[in-house]
Amino acid sequence: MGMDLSYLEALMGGGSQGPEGGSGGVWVVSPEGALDDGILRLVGKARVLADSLGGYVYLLLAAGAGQDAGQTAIRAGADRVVLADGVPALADLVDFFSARAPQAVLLPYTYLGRSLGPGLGQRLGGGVVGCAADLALDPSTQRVIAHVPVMDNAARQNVIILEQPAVVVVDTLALPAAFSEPWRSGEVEESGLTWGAAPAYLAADLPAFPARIATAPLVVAAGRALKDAGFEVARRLAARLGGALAGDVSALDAGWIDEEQLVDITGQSIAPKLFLALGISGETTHFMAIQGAGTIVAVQADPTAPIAQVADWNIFADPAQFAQALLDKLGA
Amino acid sequence: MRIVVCVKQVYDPATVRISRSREEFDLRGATRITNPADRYALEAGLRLRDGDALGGEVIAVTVGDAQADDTAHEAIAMGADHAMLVSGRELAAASGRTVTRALAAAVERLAPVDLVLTGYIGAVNGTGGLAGRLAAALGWPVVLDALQLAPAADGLEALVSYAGEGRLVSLSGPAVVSVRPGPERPRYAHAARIANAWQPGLVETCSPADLGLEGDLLIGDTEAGGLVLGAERTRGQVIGGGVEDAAGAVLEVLRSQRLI
Repeated sequence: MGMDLSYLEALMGGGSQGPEGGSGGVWVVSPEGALDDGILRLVGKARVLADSLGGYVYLLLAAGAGQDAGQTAIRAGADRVVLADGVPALADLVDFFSARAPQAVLLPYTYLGRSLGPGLGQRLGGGVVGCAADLALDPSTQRVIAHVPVMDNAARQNVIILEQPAVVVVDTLALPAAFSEPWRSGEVEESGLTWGAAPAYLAADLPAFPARIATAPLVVAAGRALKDAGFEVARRLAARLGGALAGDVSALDAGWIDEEQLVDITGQSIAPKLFLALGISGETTHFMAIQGAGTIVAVQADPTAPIAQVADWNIFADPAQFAQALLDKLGA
Repeated sequence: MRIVVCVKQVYDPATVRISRSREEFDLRGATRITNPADRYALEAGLRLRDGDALGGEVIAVTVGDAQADDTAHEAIAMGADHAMLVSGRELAAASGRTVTRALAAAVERLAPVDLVLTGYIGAVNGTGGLAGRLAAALGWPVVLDALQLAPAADGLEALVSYAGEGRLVSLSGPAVVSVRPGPERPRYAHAARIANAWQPGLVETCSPADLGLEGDLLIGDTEAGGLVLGAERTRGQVIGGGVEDAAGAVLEVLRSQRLI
């Protein structure tokens, strides 16, 4: 007496097709052919999504990656690894996926991934998210939900992807660590596809330009308590951290900064990821201008100063000495 | 050279709050500005035009509601020759696909266009996908993260920030280029230009239907939901010890949170 397994098969793999059929499923694309930690994390995330969707995980590994890489990816959660030569252009990926009707295509947040992903989704008529820090599945609708970093990563917004395929460029640094499960089995397929060479761009020096406080993700702000010598250390610290140098009204009065660097409601309101306040007591007008900051680290000597009530991290010490110690530890 | 610059009106990130209780953006008191990254794209376009011996024009295109009119006029005040505003109720909170379609239709209407510039990301909740999508919709190549653009023998040369390193990319035909803030700061609009920017006829306003966007073509590909918030900020934590220890502890915290 034979059992009808069609329902189970549909649940497991979208019909009687195995992973070799290559239809549906969650695809991870490594356009550079790299199988680094980021791609393995992405394969792990695809595994979680595919298990909820009842589908397979595929990895498209370009640039002539070998069989060994394929086995590593299988241990990280892939059911089938498709190897190709060369680096795909957008048209190559569109052709590749048009024949395969994927449920989701995930690309890493690299230059190539960012260049190809949004265009691929547009051409396939799918739903596109250009940068996600994590992915989830709506349990009732089976739609992919991307967690998009917003407000300089102060929060994440759920973005529901309404169309299939869901094409998402994922910041793999934010994903959970990759897993490696030796019992997993899968197949490595040489697709025979040969794409073009990677674009050869000439190297060039990036122009040096000062970070601006309105757009800089990291701001070092100076206040009166630093004194002249301490301000010089703060300036070097800002340069070493690649951040912008700012100050409060007292720093403006001392002639250390100009008006464009003033953080105050009479100057600029800013929302950097990190605001490092050195020797700033935190008048109300100053605090109101930094409320949007992601993390505030305040270094000054007075535990009763207003900024101590609002900073995420307080160090009650001489700000100039602290800045010097931090600079020394950074190796500058 | 005819350059189209995509400019978008966004909420000023410094005025947007996050409501923890409702898990959404609190936009009360939020003001709207031209997306800061788009101002850099406009500056890059203006510099190309100004340096072009054969002359050329810069056209700012914006998609949004009626208020986005301000952004179109601001672009003209900065130096754009004229502007196009694609505006309609259907476009309020439009998804990336709808905005892409509207911009692609606008570029086709403005043909022949040699170059399309965009900012590298939208403030508040942008993901930086526009340039790639728009290029795919137009069938043009895309170049991301250009810091500087300069004319070259047979087209343009873009200095690109490629994984933190500089690369020179040559462009010989129409392309979509996203611009990152670089050494060239967006210019201020001086008073006379601001006054002139409001002269009639400089901003062409059209509806999605004027561009052939109706019905299914306006259905979005994504829908924004609520916010996922981390643990509430614990204020006033003190790092003690001497200066040396405190510096080490701060460095550890900042590195573990990937702030530096």
